[in-house]
Amino acid sequence: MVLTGWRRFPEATIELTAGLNVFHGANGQGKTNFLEAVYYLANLSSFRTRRRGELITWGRREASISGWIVADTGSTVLSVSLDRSSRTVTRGGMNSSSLLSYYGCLSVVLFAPNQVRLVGGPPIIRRRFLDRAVLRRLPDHVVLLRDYNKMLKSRNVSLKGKDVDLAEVYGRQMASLAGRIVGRRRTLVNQLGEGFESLYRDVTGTDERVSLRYRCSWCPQDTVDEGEIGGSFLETLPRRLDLDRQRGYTTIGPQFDDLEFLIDGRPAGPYASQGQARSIAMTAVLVEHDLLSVRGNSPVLLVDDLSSELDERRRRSFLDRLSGLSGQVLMTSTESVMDRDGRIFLVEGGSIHPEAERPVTEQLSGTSETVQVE
Amino acid sequence: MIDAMDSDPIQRLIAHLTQLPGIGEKTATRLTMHILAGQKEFARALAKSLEDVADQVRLCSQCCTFTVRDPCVICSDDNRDDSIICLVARPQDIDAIERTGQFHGRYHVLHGLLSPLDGIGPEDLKIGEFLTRLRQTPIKEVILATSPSIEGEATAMYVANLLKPLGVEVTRIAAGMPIGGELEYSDSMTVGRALQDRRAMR
Ligand SMILES: [Zn+2]
Repeated sequence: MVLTGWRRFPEATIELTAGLNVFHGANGQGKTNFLEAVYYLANLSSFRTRRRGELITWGRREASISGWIVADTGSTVLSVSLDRSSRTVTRGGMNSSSLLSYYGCLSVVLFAPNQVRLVGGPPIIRRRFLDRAVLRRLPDHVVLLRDYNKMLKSRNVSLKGKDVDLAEVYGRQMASLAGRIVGRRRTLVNQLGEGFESLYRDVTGTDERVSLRYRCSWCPQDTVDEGEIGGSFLETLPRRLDLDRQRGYTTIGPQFDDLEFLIDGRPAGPYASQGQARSIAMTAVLVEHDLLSVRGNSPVLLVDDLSSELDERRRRSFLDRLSGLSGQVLMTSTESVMDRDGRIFLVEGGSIHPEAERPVTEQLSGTSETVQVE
Repeated sequence: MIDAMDSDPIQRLIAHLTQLPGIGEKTATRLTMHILAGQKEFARALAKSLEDVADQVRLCSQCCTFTVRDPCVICSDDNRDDSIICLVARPQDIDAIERTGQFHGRYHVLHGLLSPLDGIGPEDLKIGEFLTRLRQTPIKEVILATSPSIEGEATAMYVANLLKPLGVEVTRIAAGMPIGGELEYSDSMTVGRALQDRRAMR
């Protein structure tokens, strides 16, 4: 990985190992910024900010990230450079004109502190979880979502402008895409179900039964038939027209759906304890990782700051799981002691060094440091 | 806008050119310098062409395409089929269809596609003119030949709804994948329609 002008890193070059990589250092030294760079390279978006300017080192005009991606199917170099107004992505040194083909090159799964909001947080977090997973298998899902959103906005503008005929036209357009989007999400939820239940038991050591249920905002039948779901959308829309006109926006659609987690048949959202919510979030990350592991290639797992969200027992159990995963893991930690095989890096004042290169005295003080969680 | 009265003529030309689509400050400057370096005759001829376009070209009173004489060449051609009208978004779409030599009816140009997000509604298109025309002359079939994009589809559906009470047969051009086009680069509408309009291989 080579970073220039990225966040706290004016220049940084590091060589990662294929297994576990731990980045430690005091808070505010840039540990998370490094994970963010890997995430950005994969998804061309940040999980911390939507403002591009914040990604560029203070006083620089441009930031760039390059990564050498090694997979069973071959290796390639991905790089992205950005300034405040534009962004260029290349793959193997060639400008990537199609983002669809770029996205498939590097897949990452993120476990960050706010991930526990998967349960109890707003539905959009759960929809994103589903869409991300669908997208990895069906890359054109991103096109469906983009086009659907455009139709939705067009319908909402028409509703506000009291043009019912035009709203009807966009409603009809939306129906077929709504059917396809929900059909795909439901298919995924069905595929996840069983694995989720057994993995949750493994992670927690309990015999609680966790199940998943997709809640569609208009189609109560638990079907994956895209035509049926789309048809049901088309039937429901006229009945909602008065309400939609009153509110000035469309009140049903994939943008209102939700994924529900049930523990022993009870909805987790309102009833789950913090510990249960965190265990579900952990399970979801492992399931997502498993889902993205195709044909021997595993996604890169990014784990940010485990200690802030998980207690000692859950952290151990999660780390055991991570060690058992095939594929690369990049993890930040305020603690430097690791009793597992892997490469350890110290992140300090905008630079990243492998632990072995550190002077001994510093290393000694490093092992006993206690740092407040961010 | 442009301060046309008292600014330097070079700057004024550059400023005018940058208002054209796809032309930025850099290109506008290059074009201006090219005009200045060349024959004065060319600059004058260019100015005359612009003036003529502004003074002489109008919309055809029948089909709304750009034309110098009204009605336009196609609308005044007695050998064409009056009972079938092909609805297109832009005047240049007529040329594309004419080049195929497959269509011998009349045309109507909407001058755009519905796009509420860009503030383009039905009243901004030549839809009213089209309906008036249909009421005046008996028509058997309307072919909706807008593009298979979200906007093109929405426009076609919208017009089709308006035509229903008139009892006219409404058809939509079949949309396929562009030859040599890659599936993943196309938007969902194109692929979706290509699937809807699929044919058995023989
Ligand atoms: Zn004409």
